[in-house]
Amino acid sequence: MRMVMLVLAFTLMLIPAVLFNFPSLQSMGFQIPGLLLTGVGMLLAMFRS
Amino acid sequence: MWIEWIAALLPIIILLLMMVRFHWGASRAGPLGWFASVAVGYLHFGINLEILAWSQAKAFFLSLDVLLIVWGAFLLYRVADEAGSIDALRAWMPSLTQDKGIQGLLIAWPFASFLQGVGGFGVPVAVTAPLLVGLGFSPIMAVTAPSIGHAWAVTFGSLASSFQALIAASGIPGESLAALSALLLGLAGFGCGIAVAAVMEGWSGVRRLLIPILLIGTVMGGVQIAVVTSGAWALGAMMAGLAGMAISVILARMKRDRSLQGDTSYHALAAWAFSPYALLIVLTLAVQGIPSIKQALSVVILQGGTPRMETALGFISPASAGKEIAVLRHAGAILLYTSLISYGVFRLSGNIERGSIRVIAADMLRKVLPSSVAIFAMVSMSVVMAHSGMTRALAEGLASLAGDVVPFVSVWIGALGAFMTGSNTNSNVLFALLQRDTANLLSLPVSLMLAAQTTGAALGSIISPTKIVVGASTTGMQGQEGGILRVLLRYMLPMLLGLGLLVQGLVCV
Repeated sequence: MRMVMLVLAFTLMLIPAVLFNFPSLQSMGFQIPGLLLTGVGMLLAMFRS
Repeated sequence: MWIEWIAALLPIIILLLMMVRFHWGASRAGPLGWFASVAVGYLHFGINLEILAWSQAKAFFLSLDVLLIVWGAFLLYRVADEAGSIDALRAWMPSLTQDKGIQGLLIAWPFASFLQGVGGFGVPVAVTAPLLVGLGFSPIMAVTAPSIGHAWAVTFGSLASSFQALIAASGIPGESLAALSALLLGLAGFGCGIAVAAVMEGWSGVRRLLIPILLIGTVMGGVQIAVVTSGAWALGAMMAGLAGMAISVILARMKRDRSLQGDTSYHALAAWAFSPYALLIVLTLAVQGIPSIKQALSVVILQGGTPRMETALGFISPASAGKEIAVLRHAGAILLYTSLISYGVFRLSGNIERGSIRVIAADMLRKVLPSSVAIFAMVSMSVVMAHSGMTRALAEGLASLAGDVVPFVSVWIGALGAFMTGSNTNSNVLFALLQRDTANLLSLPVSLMLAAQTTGAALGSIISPTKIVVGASTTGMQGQEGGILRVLLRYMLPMLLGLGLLVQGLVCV
């Protein structure tokens, strides 16, 4: 379970970071949801246990 | 200015506090450090959503550059281990000589350095400590000697992932950093060798083994300098460790017991055990040295640039083209090719069982995933701090606080970072920009300050709590970590002091 949470956390951190590299996505208002996803990923990594 | 400095320091203090006081791993403390940097950046340094988003975009590329190597290095190590290579090396070592001092020196210094070169992740201590206990060394000697012995090889170890982190975090090309880093690390290597002999046999042992120490240290340091200045820094510690083992074997054979003279069976065993790493060397040299191969593998290039950004307080980050990552000829890709070929050969020869791929994958996930989360979170934190002006504020504070002794202090900052975060890589990620900006502010040589950062961090990793716990658990010394730490400090602190004075002296010259 702990590993599944960590995989999920890592995925949530990485996906927005990859997508942020596309300026067109950023201009379409992806910044807020993307940063929220990153934050959720970071929180999951912190409290996975 | 001081309020800014303290605010900029806050994310680092929170990160270190959670790791040291509350024993959080880097994969938990890193994300908290990121939140702290985002909060301080937003509330005090005037960053906006655009800066945050581009910081994450940049952090992805910087992390990928390091993580490809971390993943590849561990995969190769696990394939070799699953095929019995590490066990074969364990069996080979004691067959070389009956001189206990040379045995201890060979295993805890060049062999541990070689293992750091190819593996890392606490592998040098985990593999050599039980071996030393088996040879009759006390458990505390068995843990402390390799913990110190491999430290000088940490920066260019794990296929140079820590050095890659130094390049990525500082933005300074590896070619400018390699020579000075290898020089300082090579000098630190002599200190490591002397400390290993002192741990094993006391100061009388240092006198007795002084010539082997000087020979081995010169060969290992020289080879590392030669390899990394030629551009193949991923092979630096591994080749140095191999060369150190070769010269140690020659020295050991000179003191060899007559009963072992005719036994050559162990040499074949050793040659087989080293085969995955020999293949890695061949592939790395082929990719770097043969233009047609290099060109063919340069078809996939990843590059992530960032636009000009400005905070509400007017701190400007100029537009940057970003770092190029040639995916197919990256050190991580070469490690993957080596691992796949080695796996295939071992599988065909029956050295690896059918189901072992699952065991390797599960172990990779268990060991590498937490490090990956920690690296990405801390790189993200470091980039947010850089683009918000926090790193600049820290550098200004440090420059005015430490003044003329900044070069001396830079070594201790690196060591502190490694102790607190548990790794040379993390320390470089956290402090490389700070060291670079401080050096620029005071017109100090940036390459020397970054070399001091990574060498200090390599030595600081000696007392990394993770490594101490790994060492203690492999020798039945659980619960005695405090005693191990005291012994390690006795040898590490003089080395850091000497290194700090050397760097200060080099700047003055």
